[in-house]
Amino acid sequence: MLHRMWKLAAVSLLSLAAASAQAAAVIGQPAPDFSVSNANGNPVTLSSFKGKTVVLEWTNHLCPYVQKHYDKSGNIPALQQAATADGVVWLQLISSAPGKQGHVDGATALQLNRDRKAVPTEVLLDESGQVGKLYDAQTTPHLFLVNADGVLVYKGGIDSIKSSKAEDIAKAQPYLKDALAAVKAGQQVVNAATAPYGCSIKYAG
Amino acid sequence: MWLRLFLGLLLNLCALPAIADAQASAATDQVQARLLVDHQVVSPGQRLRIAVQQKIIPHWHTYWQNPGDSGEATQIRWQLPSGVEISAIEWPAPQRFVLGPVTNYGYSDEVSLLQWLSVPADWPLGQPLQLQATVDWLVCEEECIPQSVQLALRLPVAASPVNASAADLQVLSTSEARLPQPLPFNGQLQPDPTGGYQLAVSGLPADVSLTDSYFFPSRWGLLAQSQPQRWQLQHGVLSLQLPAGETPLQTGAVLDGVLLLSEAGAGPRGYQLSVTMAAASSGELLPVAAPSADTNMSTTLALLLAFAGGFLLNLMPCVFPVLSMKALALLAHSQQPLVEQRRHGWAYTAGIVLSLLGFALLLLGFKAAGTELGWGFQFQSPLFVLLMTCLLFAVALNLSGVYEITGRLNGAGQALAAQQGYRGSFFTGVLATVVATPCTAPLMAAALGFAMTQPPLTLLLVFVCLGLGLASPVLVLSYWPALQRRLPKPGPWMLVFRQMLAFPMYGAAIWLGWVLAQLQGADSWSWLLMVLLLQSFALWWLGQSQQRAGTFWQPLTALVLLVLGLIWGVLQLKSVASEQTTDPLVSKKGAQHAGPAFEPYSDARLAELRAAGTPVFVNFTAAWCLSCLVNEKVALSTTQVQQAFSERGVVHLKADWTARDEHIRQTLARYGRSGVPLYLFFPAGQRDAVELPQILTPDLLVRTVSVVD
Repeated sequence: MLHRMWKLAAVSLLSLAAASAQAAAVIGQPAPDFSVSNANGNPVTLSSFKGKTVVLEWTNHLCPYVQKHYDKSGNIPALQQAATADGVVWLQLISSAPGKQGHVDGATALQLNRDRKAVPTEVLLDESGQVGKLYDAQTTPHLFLVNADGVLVYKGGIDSIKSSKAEDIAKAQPYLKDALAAVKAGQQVVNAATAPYGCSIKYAG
Repeated sequence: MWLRLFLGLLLNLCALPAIADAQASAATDQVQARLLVDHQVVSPGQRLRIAVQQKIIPHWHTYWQNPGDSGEATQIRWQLPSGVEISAIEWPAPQRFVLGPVTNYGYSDEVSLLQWLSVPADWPLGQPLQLQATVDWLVCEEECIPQSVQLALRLPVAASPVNASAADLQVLSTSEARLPQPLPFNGQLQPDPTGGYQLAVSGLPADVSLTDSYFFPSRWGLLAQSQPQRWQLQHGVLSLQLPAGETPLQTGAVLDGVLLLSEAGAGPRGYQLSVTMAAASSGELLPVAAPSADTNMSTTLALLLAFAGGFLLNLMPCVFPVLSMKALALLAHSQQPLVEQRRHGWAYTAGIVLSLLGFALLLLGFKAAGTELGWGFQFQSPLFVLLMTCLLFAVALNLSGVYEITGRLNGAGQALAAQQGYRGSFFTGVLATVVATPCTAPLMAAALGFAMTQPPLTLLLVFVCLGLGLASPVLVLSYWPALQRRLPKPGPWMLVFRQMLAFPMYGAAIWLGWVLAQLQGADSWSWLLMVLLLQSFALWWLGQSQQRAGTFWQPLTALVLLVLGLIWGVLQLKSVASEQTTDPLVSKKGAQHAGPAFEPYSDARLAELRAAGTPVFVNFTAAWCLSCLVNEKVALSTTQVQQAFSERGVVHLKADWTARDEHIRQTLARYGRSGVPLYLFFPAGQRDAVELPQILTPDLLVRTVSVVD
């Protein structure tokens, strides 16, 4: 019996170690794959977009920093428009846990995007926070860019000025926009890892 | 109603004078902001201390210059008359706020951001100085609100300045005291083999005892802010292992920020630190705490381990008889309806879980009162050990059949099956818990060590899981009668078995008596045996009365005798304890029981030996820790191991935690432990200690000391 308990403990320890050894989001490394439901309840898998550039955008419509780039300026909707027109896949992720700020059902998420003229390719509902934690996403907004080979080429903030004021957008260095342009031109992203800023993601627990 | 109106009016009237220095303060729902200056009348050419004070409601926080993984630093934008100059913000040392995978740096309750303001030398006398600032901040609990206020101040200018009010000066001086000081020690930074950095701060007083240490990087990207920083203090050298951030430091780059050191018995103190990254050195590296997975264990794993640990406790020599008693009782109940058996199972579980929760609450209470205790702390109290000895002895006498436990004092002897009501089951659970504590099973140490560092709710949950684990065999048995059928049929053998079980119980009582002798000196044996003799007589007398139903005075005298005996024992305890305070050597002498050759542990001795390149084995132990004693007997003191130690020149340092010892508790805490045993091996000339499992074998020890050469 004792022996079996030890075995059990060892197995649980091992599986924990395996989970933590799982690929994290590292620049220049393959972006960790995931599969998660979209707003219509259909599963969406990252690896199915191989061959296309993919943007991962963590969001929470009630966060003042998200509102800065949506409601107050239209900055992110404009970026989505331009990027998707270029054939980029834009995945909007919501990792707020049920009962926490920013958690919405699929219909509400889609309605919010219509209201804000936002045009992501998909809205992904990650209420368990699994994808968020896989990428170590910390803030809303927090952005990741995956190139056509499935390699992570950018992670960080949407731009360089950490503020909730829309008037700062024009003065800021647009990190994500620059990264998208570099990928399109087949160049190296200059600032590949920048400081994300915004509200903390309202994970479960 | 009228009263409220009147009060409101009165308040408004009182507020009127404040309007005169309009908007020196402003408030949002979460933050009250105020502009403060150290003079209320200033003169030309003067340098003024000026501050923006934020008073923040409970549970909310604003941010430091580096807000951490999310958040935003407070900003102050001044509109000043030309010629007036203002210095950069000086930030008081921040605090850490951890929310899942996000770590933030900021302030709760109250903070004042300090600046220096220079009045031009040619400022005309009589012309007031008009200062105005826009202050933007983000205030967060879990959700965040960006806020912005306007603050303004008009300062009269005259030839002779006038100090601000005593209250304002007090606020300013308190804030000054919270500013990080220049580091009076030497700092060194170099890459670490794990990909992070190693920061060594030397020159700390040799006797300093730190409870925590944390480095706050001045900007994002330098460090992985949400990963733990491991630290170790040895011989006045503080070593920190810092995890690299997204933009790693190159050789020659500068790491700057605030080093926060918390000293035992004093508040945390911040030091300004700025160190240049040295090239990786192949030479002498400073020792850093062996990475201990326990500190960043997930809650789920801790709960699982607690459950498993609780389960293992059932096999310990002091618990097994109690468990067997319970199993026997269940067997005896097997004719009863299933519902009733299950109720017994749950009553037993409730007894265990509630008494463990009691322990946990006690721990929390001590923690709140500022006394940090480790697991097993009960056995550092001689009173507890004495009462436990008597209790185990009483249980043993009961198992031997000297007397029966009944609801009523004069109740006649009843059948084994009948005597156990739900109350009986409940108290069997309590008993199992109480006797289980010294046998902290191997898996439990990690879970409990984790629990001690967690918020109260997690700590309580860990204890609940521990209890469920301990209760699980009986609970399972009560739910699946099929399992019961596998056990032998009830019969006369049960009585024999029960009497047999008394002997491990007597053994446990002897062992506890020995623990008491370690705590109180060897002569405590004599009076303890007297107490036990009295107890056995009283209980035998009780047993006699139980066989002849009816009399009342007999059990009563038995009870009185029992209580008198205990009181006498407790009084003995006091007298020995007071002698001990005059002569601290008494306990020390007592604590040195026979065993392998060793030296007493101290940080200084360890550092000295390590500096000399001597391999060191550190043994954290206590007389009341059963697994420690077993390890010492079957592994450490074997000739095979002793020979290996002396061949390799390994020095055995022993940290004896039998009595309370704050220094040893802190050392254990540094390795993420809250109790003993802990075994560390420091190989000669190597940086990290090897942590050995909690069950030692001679082979393992010999292999450990040999392989590392």
